[in-house]
Amino acid sequence: MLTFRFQKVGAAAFIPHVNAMRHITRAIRRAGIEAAYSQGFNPHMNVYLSPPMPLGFESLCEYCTVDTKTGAEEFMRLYNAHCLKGMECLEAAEVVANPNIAAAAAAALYEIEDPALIGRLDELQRGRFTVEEKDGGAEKDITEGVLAIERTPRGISALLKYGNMGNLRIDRFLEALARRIPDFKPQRVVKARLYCCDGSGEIIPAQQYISKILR
Amino acid sequence: MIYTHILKKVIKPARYTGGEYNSCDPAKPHEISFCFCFPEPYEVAMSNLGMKILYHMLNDRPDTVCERCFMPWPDLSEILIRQDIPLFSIESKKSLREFDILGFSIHHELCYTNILHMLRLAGLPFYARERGEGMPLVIAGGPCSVNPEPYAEFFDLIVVGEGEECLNSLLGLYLEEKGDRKRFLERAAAIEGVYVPSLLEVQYSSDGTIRGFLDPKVKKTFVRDLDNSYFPERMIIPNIEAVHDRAVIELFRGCSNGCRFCQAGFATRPIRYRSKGKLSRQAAKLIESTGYEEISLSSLSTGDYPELRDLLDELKPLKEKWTNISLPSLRLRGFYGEFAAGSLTFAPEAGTQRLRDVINKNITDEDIEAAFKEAFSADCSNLKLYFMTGLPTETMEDIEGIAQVALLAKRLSRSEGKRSPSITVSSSVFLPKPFTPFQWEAMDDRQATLEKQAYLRQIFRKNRIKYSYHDYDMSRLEAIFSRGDRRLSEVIVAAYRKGCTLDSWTEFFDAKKWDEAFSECGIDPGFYLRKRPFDEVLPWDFIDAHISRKYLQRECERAYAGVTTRDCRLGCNGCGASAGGCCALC
Ligand code: SF4
Repeated sequence: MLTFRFQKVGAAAFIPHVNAMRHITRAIRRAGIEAAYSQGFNPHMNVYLSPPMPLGFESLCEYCTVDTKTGAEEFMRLYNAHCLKGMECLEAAEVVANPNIAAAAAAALYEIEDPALIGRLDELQRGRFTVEEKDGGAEKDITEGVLAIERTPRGISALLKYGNMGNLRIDRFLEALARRIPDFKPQRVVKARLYCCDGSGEIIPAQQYISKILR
Repeated sequence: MIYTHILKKVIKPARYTGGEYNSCDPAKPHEISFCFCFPEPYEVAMSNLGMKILYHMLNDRPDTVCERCFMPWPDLSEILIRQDIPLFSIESKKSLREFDILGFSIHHELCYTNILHMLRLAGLPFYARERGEGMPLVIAGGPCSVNPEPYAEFFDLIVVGEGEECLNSLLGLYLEEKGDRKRFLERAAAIEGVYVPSLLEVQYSSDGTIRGFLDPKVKKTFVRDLDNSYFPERMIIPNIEAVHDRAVIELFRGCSNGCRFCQAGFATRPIRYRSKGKLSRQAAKLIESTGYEEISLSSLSTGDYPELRDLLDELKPLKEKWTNISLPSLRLRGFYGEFAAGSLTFAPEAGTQRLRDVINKNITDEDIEAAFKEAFSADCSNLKLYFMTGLPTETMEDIEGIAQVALLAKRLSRSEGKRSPSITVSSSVFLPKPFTPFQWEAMDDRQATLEKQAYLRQIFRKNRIKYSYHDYDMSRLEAIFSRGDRRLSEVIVAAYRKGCTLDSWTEFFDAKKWDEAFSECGIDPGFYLRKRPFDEVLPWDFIDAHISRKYLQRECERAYAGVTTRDCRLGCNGCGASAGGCCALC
């Protein structure tokens, strides 16, 4: 088995999760990489993805596990020669079992570039984040989903809850930012890092989580 | 990326982003910029085999870049109009106005308002006569070109028939005459298959029928040597799932069955086969270049391919590589259980032997019963049955026959099936179509159609059989346009101005607006739905589709006499399509 990190940037950022899965399996087939298929009437390639994110946001840390015996380096070379542009594999590791990132994902770090954010870090770290309820009614406090905010050279990075154990969607967080910073107009938002919750309840980088089950 | 802010506001933005695997590089140096326009949304457009063939064929030319543009969904249309952004191509996001040629593929009568919508969003006048130098040449082709008259005046030229060879000749001529539209069109009219509507004068009699045409005939063009004709070795893979999202090989063109209602069966004659060796090589190449997990063996009647069994054997290595092989368009018997288990579709079309003889659907009650048994014992879990109502000579007995066939399937599914398969019946409304033996027939009226549909609905509900049927008003509009003349172009414009677009989508179709458009233009739709005498000049009579009118008339007379005509594989029936010596069966 092999778990790899891939990006979803450019036009590929607009491809929905279920279609992204198909693009990956087709790239693997084009590349001639042997992979295991499910049993049954309608067999499909066994691939497992990290949780979906809202359409239109770029990511450098999507994860996919595929049941193959191909080595990490060879996989990366072959896959990247045949994948959809914008969905390239950035690193790969051979694992003994499916790390089930979809279940373990706990937080995601987003980099949000906007000069308007620079210099407002203290204010952002202190106050509360609110959005309007989807039906246009009451205000909803989403601060609980914001785990940390740090300064970056071009704006801020925000660590948000992500996955089954609590999820704050990046688009909702941006809405909340826009309510607090009137001239907020992000130039780039990218999901840069994924964090998983290990057995002890600790939140660790996905790479570290995967490294525990390396082959 | 350009227009990112717009894309975040629309549903399914991947319809417009481009960047698909196997899509072209618009930055390639080129002399001709061509935009393939499909007047339906992405998921439909990207399923179209003609689009896939021509897109790759044009991009394989060293001098041409072919991009795509499809009918935008209303959410994007609204933004484009509000923000005054011209409709753009998927690949380079270039405004349609900046292309040399816009090539529309017209595949369905209910997409005519979509053509106008795309032209409007591109900032181009609707009528060819209102567009001048400095604007792209706007051309059309596709299945509806067998009677292009209702939309003819929107286009500078129309390719009647198969586009591959004709389009290459046209592009060669375009390079020679670039900059002189008038001369280009005059010379283009001499190419087989090219129809220049501005050069045709239609004369009318006082009763509104056509008296004649002032121009020589337009000959339908077709690929003579199908086996050696262009077929792409790669196929563009849609960003999001298309209606048909799989690799396709095309087994043959034309059809030998001669079902008297079927336009495709006649209009695509002569019959031409691809060799099984070529097909299996194409299939292997396509799976390698696309990674698709399914390949479809396409044709009008796949079970009729003479070497189907051998071909399926040759395709076995693909199955070993987890590739599904799908056989659409099978006739009732002789399907291949191991390839077709799961869901099966049969189209008896009519409920009684008498009516099946009228329409020349050469299958018997015994065939139907045997096919059902074969299907259920092959573990078919979902059986779909297709019928038509309103066929010439039909009586209520024939409608009852539809119910009986479905009930037989239900009974056999219980006695023969391993599990309890679902049975779905679907009925469409018979539409008389040009270049068929029924081209002179009337269309059933609304009242009669609704009664037949209600009758079947009630029986199927009682017997727990799923039943769906085509909307009468949509079918009626399709019937009007399929046998329409060029006077209907103003109705299309009027309906569009009232807000009609995406007419083939039930959620957008508005019959009332269409009725208003007809009455505002002073055009009686009934004129186009009526039965026509054999000696009436028909709007498409200036087209030579290589099917003789005499043959069609004879077939119509045989239909009324309840006499069937044999499948051409048993001997040529003299339809006229062999005139060029190209019919494989003749
Ligand atoms: S030319 Fe003869 S064999 Fe060929 S399609 Fe016509 S009738 Fe059939």
